[in-house]
Amino acid sequence: MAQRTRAIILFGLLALAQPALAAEPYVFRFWSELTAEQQKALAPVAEDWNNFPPRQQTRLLKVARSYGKLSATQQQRMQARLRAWVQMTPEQRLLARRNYQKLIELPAQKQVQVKQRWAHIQSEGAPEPEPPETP
Amino acid sequence: MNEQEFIAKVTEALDEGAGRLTSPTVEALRAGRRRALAGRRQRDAGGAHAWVAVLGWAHHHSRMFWLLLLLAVLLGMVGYQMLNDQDASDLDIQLLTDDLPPQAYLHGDMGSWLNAREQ
Repeated sequence: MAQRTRAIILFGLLALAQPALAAEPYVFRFWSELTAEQQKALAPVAEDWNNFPPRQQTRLLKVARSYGKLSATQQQRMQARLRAWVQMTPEQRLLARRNYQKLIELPAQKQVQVKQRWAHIQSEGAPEPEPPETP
Repeated sequence: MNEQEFIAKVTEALDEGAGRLTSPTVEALRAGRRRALAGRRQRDAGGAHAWVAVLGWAHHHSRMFWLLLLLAVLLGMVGYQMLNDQDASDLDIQLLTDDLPPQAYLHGDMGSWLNAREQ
């Protein structure tokens, strides 16, 4: 019975901790440890890579994993934006994600309207918000 | 022969068969039934016993139990955050490759554009 009790307790605790077992672990990697494909995808942030915390590295590596599946235009866009992206503060990235999530949940017509508004502002020469300096 | 007649004949045959059973056979069947019922009662009680045992263990090892529970909850929270991060990475890829640059989503008016449902 004692063995059975221990097994039940262990099972319960494992169930509680299950997300940690299922998630990809955060591991610090030096730039030199990345594969050629990862280095190619993340080339714009090569200089800063070794200063990124493991959590940010893990997220960027996941982004890099999809790089090969993107179209040439998407690859170009991603690389052009990556540096500014990592220079944003975590709060700014969170806000950008939230607003992007809201945008993609809008009907297609509304999405076009928002994009047109942004394009209009750009054409009027209003300055784009600058990403903050890296601390 | 219709259905009712057929059922009546089968019942009659079974009754006659049961009447011809010898005493040792009847006793063996009765013992088998008792064993089957006892086994069923034990299985029903087994689940309850397991929970009583778990609670008993938790009571006797309360410090260890709370420590393990805390550890499991913390691991669960960290893991949940990590899984969330992995979902966010998918969103990051879309955001970085979509029409608008990420800075667009920080623009002061963006929130009002997105929230203005009726225009």
